[in-house]
Amino acid sequence: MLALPCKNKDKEVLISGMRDHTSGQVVIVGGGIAGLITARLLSENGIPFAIIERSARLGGHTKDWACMATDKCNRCHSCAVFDYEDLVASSPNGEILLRHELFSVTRSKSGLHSVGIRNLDSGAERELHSMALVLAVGFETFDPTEKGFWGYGTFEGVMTLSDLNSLMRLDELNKLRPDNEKPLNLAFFQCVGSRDKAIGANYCSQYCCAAAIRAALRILHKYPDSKIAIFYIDLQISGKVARTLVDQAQEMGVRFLQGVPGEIQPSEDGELKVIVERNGRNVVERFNRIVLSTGQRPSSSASAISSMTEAPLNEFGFFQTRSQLDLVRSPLDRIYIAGSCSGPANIPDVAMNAGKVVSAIIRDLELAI
Amino acid sequence: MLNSQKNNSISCTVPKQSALVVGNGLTASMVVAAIKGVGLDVTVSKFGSNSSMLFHCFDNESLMTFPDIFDEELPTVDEQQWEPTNIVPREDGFVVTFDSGKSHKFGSVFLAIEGTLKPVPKDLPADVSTITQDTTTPFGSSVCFLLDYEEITNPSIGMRSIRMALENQIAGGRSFVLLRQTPVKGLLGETLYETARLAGVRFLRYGTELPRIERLSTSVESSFRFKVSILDIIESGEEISFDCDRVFVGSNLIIERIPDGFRNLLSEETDQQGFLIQDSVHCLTGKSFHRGVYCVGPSSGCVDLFETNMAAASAAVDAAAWLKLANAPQPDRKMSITDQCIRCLTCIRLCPHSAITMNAEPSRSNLEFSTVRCLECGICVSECPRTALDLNSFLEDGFSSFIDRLKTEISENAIVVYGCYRSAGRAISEINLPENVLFFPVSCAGRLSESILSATLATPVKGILILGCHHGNCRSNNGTDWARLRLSNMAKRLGSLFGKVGAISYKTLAPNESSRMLKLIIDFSGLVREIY
Repeated sequence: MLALPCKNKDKEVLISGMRDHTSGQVVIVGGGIAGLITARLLSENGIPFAIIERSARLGGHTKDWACMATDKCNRCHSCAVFDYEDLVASSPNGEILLRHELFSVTRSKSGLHSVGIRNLDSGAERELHSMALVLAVGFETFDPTEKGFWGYGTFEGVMTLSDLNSLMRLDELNKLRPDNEKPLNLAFFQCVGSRDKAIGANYCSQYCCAAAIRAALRILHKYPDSKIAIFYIDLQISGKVARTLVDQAQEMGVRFLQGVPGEIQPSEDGELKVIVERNGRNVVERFNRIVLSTGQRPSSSASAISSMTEAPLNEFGFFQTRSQLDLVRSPLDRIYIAGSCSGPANIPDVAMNAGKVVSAIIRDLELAI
Repeated sequence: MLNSQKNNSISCTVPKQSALVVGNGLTASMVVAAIKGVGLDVTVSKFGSNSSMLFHCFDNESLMTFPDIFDEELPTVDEQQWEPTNIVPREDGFVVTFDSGKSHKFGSVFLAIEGTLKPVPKDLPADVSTITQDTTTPFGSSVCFLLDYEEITNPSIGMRSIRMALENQIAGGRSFVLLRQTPVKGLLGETLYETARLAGVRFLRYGTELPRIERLSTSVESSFRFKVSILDIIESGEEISFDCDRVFVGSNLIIERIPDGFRNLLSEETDQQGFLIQDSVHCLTGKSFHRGVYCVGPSSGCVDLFETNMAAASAAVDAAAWLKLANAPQPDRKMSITDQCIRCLTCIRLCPHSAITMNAEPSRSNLEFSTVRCLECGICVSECPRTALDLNSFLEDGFSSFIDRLKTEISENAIVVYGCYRSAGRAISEINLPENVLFFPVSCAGRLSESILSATLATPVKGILILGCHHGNCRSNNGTDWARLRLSNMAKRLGSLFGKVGAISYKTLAPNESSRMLKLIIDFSGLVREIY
């Protein structure tokens, strides 16, 4: 058992058989970018960790994203996950448990957790002693078939932002060009599955505006003859990057159109048509591709992990934090929420959030130097 | 100045565990609290404005329960009025010289200054004021908040406006919010917007035509009167006019003066607007290319209280980690140097990580290589005029033996791909290379000296493809630019000497671009085949 340097160690009475309040590991549930950054900061501060990840690889959603560089890096941060993965994998004081899931969490009087994990392949079970539990289970991308009128899965040419990213990652953007000759005429629909009270997603997904603009820039870099429109409700990009990205896109000829059309219909000539309101009149616009900027929904494993850990969920199904002001602690002691499982976030936000999680653990558990 | 520096010997009291915070407002207080939270000592250099530029959309009462800030007394710290004029990275920290002439040593340095808001646009009446966090709403009157007037208002400032509009409406006043983009930041942004709408706050959206604000002459001196006209593009599509008592405009941040010490150190780490880039590629936790230097809050373009608080915590956690690393027994040396060194100091000037230093006394003593700062890019090695330097993990010998092998053991039409290990080196794991392609991972594209490239071209290989990280994504800041520069130099010479133009090419890549990497290689092979 690893013992950590602890500034108030003399306060602790160590009775034989009873553990020091800082013994064990910080158990991180989820090996996406939030889990990785948390692990890296814990490890570099000498705090042992274990990452439990259901899938067979680290990196989560970020690994599925494509690089958005044009003639320069556009700071999409998707490559950061590779840097973090290497840093974490080479940590001397960490364990990475791929293809493992949580099956039980029991809390002792001292607040320490005993965490039962199971190997998804062999079924072998193990117990981890956790001085703190970090929930970093991420998000689920909204499934647009939930709302049929965008024709996702029905009309050829309608795809999600994730689908577009997969194509970009495989360098297969040419597949989007009809006959590979006609210029691409593409529209982004923002807020698909976000800011939508009817489906319980009455919030902004935070990442999609910037992601759509970066994707537009990347497409125009590769195929300058493309025509791109972005239908939006309100552009949500923070001050610093907003001006640079929006200006760049406008210079490249991207049209920003307020109001997201409610319906997509196939046209007679095999294209897609949407009805757009312009100056009080309905106008038909035609596109050959439409990208749905799908929002972030709570992780499918959130409710199971919530009932196992007793960490409550909020009205939207994300993990509840201790207050509107404390964005990293769960209402339960020694349970922390990292990354997008407490609410939609982009990569830089997740990084800051993970830093705050580690800082809270260091304070609460008195692990400071 | 020189004399005073010489006379003041550097004080070294527990330098490795001490941090310098430069700033005078709420940002600096939060950074201090965060650093104290991870157990480091803090010295504050009170520099710049003390008026907070941080915004939030909560009422002030609930804010007092903000964890880690207002839940305990702020720690007392050593405070100085000095301005840091020079910051020099050392193996285990930084030597900071202040305008007082004194020098002190610190383990890490934090820039936590506030900013200022852009003034009210000139075409608006003089009595219009900017929205600040401390603006107390004139309850009960009719108030107009004008957002996105010259450019999109920062969403944190926009959200604050919505909160103020709501409070004014609840208190019996009338609130109008004029905007192009409704800010709905955070999980509860939409709820705040909805609550404000339900409470009767009037949101009016304008398009290309800007709203007009006119000052009305008034007989009552205490009350402002404005006439506001806006072409509402959403609800009615018609021009709407109304009178109100006050008009506030949502502004944006401009950076305050950065102390000279930081400006020199971070000269290459600013964006187009002059804000410091806190998200340099190899980190996202508020540190810069120089480990141990952190920029938090308005100096990095952030005006959000919560984001700044998180950035402060992240930076403090990273600083603690950095100090642990710097204090730990160091692993094997990363650099070696031979007696060929003539102390030309080229390497000191070029190192993007400030990892090379030299003591001035005794005169021109040996160079020192910081194992903790060095990220092993090898740019110093590639530009050393005496080839006196080498990277221990990517030896020059490795290149030589690789090039020797090229002279004999290669297939016809062979091409060499030199790729940065960070991008190409990772992307390659997912692709199968064509048989004629030899991949050699390098520490950084900037490591490839002209002599390595010339030696490679002198072998029977038909071409060289260099793959670096995208411009602006190089872990060593300008390694990718070095590669580009050398290539254009060589292309000029090759064109005249060997006629091998096109046989050497440079492209940029990210680790998640495996498929593109393969295409680049295949395209290059094709190009080479055309030449021969």
